Amino acid sequence: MIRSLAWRSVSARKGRAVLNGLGIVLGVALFFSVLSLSQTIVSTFDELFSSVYGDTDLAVSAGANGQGTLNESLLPKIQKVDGVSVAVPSVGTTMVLIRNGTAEPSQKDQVFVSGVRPGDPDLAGAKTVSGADDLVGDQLQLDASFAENNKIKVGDTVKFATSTGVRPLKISGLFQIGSGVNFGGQGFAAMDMKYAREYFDIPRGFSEIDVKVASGRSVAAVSKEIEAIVPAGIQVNTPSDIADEINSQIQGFNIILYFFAAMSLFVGGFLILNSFNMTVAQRLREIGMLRTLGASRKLIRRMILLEALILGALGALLGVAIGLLLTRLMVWLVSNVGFPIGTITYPPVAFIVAPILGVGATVLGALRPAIRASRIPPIQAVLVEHRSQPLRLGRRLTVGSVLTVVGLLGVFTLAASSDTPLPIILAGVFGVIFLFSGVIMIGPVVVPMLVRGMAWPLRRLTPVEGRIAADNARANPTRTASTASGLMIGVALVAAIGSIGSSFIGTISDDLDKELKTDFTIQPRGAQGGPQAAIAESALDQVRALPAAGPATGVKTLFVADGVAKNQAVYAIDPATHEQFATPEYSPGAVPDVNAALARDSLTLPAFFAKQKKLAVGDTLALEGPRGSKRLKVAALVKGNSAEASSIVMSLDNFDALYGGTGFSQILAIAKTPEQRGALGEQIDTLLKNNYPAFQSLSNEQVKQRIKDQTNQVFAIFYVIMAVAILVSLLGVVNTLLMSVLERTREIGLLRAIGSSRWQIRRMIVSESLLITAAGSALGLVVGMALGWAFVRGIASGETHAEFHPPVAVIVTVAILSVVAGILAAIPPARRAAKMNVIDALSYE
Amino acid sequence: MSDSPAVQVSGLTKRYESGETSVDALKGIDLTIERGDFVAVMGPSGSGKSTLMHILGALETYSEGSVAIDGKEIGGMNEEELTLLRRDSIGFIFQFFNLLPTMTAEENVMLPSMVAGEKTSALKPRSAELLELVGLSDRAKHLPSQLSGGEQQRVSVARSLMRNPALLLADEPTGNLDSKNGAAVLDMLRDVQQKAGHTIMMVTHDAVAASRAGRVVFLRDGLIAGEVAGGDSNRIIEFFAGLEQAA
Ligand SMILES: Nc1ncnc2c1ncn2[C@@H]1O[C@H](COP(=O)(O)OP(=O)(O)OP(=O)(O)O)[C@@H](O)[C@H]1O
Ligand SMILES: [Mg+2]
Repeated sequence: MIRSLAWRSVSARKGRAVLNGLGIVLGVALFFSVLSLSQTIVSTFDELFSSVYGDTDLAVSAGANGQGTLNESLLPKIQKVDGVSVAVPSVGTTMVLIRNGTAEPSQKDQVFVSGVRPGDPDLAGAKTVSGADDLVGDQLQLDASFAENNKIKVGDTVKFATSTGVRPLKISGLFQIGSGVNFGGQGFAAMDMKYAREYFDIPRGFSEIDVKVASGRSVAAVSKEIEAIVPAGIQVNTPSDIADEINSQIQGFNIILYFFAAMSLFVGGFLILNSFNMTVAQRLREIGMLRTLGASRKLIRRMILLEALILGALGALLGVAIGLLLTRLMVWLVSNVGFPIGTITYPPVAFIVAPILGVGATVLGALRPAIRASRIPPIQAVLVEHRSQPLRLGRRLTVGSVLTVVGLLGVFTLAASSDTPLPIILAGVFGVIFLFSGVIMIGPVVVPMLVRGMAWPLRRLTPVEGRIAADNARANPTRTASTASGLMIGVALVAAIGSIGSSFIGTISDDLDKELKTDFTIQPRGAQGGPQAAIAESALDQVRALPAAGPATGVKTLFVADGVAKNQAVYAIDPATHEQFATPEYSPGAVPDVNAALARDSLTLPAFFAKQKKLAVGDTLALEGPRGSKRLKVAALVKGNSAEASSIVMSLDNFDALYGGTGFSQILAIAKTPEQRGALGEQIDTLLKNNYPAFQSLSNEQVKQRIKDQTNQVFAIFYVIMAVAILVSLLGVVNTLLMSVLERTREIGLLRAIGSSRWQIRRMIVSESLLITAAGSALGLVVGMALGWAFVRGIASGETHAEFHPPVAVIVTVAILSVVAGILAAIPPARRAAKMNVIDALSYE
Repeated sequence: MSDSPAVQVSGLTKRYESGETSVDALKGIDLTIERGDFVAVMGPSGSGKSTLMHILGALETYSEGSVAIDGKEIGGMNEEELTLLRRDSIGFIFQFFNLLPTMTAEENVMLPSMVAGEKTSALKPRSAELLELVGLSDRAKHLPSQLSGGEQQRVSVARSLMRNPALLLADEPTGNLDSKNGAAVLDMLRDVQQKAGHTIMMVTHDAVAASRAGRVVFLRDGLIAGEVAGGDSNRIIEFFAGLEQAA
């Protein structure tokens, strides 16, 4: 019996059911696509590593991304290690395809090229697809999918921008690695090491030595033996170690994605909660009647929960279907950010987890309304009016405020912590949940006040409609507040992300203004991942020779495992001119003349790093690199956000002695006079275009813009996820307004009878909608900025410099969109209200 | 224009069609209501009283015939013109008062002019005057929930007069009130008609109520079955009994 009652209830309120169902559909779709997205990223990396490393058992390298240099003398030592079957050295860099005469900073034009010795075995296991199998002279072996994308054939001569300028390279053969996936567009290539050294300005050293272990020998044991003979700081990894490390970095990104997806399901559940609460209120009489007929509380409860179950199941099914599509959108967005993306992989677990969570959220959302319904006494069947319980506003306000503050503290704790063990992550997650619960609790107190404030401009525009709309929105504060709260959650997360983003960008821009004195920064074009190309040292002389050029200098960066920290950046500068290009912010207690000290035997450390490692000015650090070892004294600790504030800084001489020098990572240039800045920019551009198209020059404004763009690109995916959550909450607004229209049928009829036009009725509904969305958005912006502020304060409480910058663009966008959304959400209910037959409305009971 | 009757109806028919079946609610009504008339409409249930009133109030379309309110033919009017007609020429009084619960008595009275876009401040004198007329000057700031049923109906009478309509339409205005409150509302309607010269058409089932009117029109089966003068409730009861017997 209850089954048919529940089913009939779903189909009797089809409109409502569709709205609720849609909320669940979107939530499930989002969760599904986030799971698929992260699986796709992980499996792409797995595939990348297994195909690039092929038969390689161990990879010996200096620093992440092959950016370090290995001493050549290491090769014979490794070959002699017992258990090593083959050891294959290579040098690696990046070059850029010249298209229409120029090199674009696009990932799709990048080629990771590796120089290998002819005759060495190919451990990557590349299969030749066409052309020559072996390396031919200075010709290039190119990966087939890149060749196909760019219509390159064997025998073609193709121009590439390299460290030493434009190189026409003849293609001797095409190969395929792994299953031929396309890793975000960039290509792979191989050529004779002899020519690679020349063309790419890598005179000495190796980027990597790949080792195949003799059959029957344990990889782990051989790895230990190699580690024993290489200098400290050199990494010996299995390909799966490397994949794991990258995966653990991706994991952080994934956790954020999961969190947001979970929030949108939460909003979906909240939609159900509000909607079922309304339905129960609407069906008081019907439920009371069932109770007089002898229906037990349990039956009522089960009837409502079953209704939710039906809805949840239908929504979940459709959600998975939509999720398949949404995944494509997400994957596209992520590949835009520069993640390599192979074939989309749908993890089997997503097909199970996403629908279960969807149904779970639906049933949980319906739980409280179901319990409420079951408490309806049979007398309700005969009572005309139901007196709602008065709200205990005082208690709500107290409990809500406490939760809000505790929540903010939790977020602060997460941000303040320099590493993230599970309890700290939980503090953050629960912080957010507490914060939202707190705000939802104080909603019925705050939202009517907000509505009152927001109504003011509306009442100026449309006195009657604005007035009635405001009255209506305030007539049921709990309902209006919970509807607005759904929107609040989505907007708050957007505002929080926006705040963190704008604070990050703003702080860095401010610090750059203070710390960066250079006019132009010359660096490789948009290379992401993979070995970075270095600029030949000769380029510096050419820049200096430009007519408008004042001082210019080169800097080198390298990620090394220095024996103190994994993946620590080392930044090498010229102490003689350092002052002219940067003013690092030294902590108190630095030696008097830091640059003079750097020129001798000193280095500076990032302040946070020194604190972590308990190092102070005057301490000595023993550094070992592929080319030698040095003991350097700490001359100063650097704060701020510049490259120097996150790197070990030393002189170029010390750097070369430790790590061996190739080209510069960047060249910094200052115009002769500020007036000549424009001229210098043009001269550098011309120089780069003609001689070094693999590089680009950025003005300080462009550097800032780039940081902004990159941050925004990464954040775009978060915004998309939150947009879905906001969409779900707008369904809640539609729902509430439809209810409001239904309840006010008579009032609408009356207004029409005394001469209100259909447009006036529409305007009234739109006004009510605007009040709800504006209140929700305003609350969301405030809560989100509070969240972002707590986060930024938390970060700033450590050694990192961070200042809160309000996300102006986000605020403006949210404000505009909340008006648009308010109007859109009002369309179906306004339609219904305007279409209402006046006589029917007036005789409506 | 000023000498045209408040209501001029001729050959009015109304057919409700719903799928296969159709109901002829009005079958050819001819009725003229002069300015200043107070007409009561009576008739058995289903005779078409409400239908007639809704058509006169421009709330409902009709099938054939012609209807002129205040000298204006409503047959060819579009939605916007009908809205303006309701706004400016017609006042409604309903059985269930239909006051907006969040507005004070004063605001409810002003509502028709507020809807017409007039400034609230300019409307205060008029609404004060009307509240005085219905004897509720001291309740101006009260919400409907703080007023009795009779008081609420008096507010709605005041509201119907706000824009000085050419025609007041009341559908069983006393149907939801006890006899004492009902009598008070009827007295008021009569005052309004006699002192201010308003034209009133009132649908009622109550012969005593009808007797307050100047004319009592009887409907039966969608047609006018006769008319008597107001004043004597016994005559009205007799006529009505005759009608019901014939039915
Ligand atoms: N919307 C409609 N659709 C179909 N038939 C209708 C509709 N409205 C009224 N009718 C029919 O028209 C006829 C006249 O109805 P009307 O409401 O005018 O009667 P009434 O005289 O006001 O009755 P009562 O005294 O019960 O209020 C009735 O037969 C009724 O069933
Ligand atoms: Mg009727």
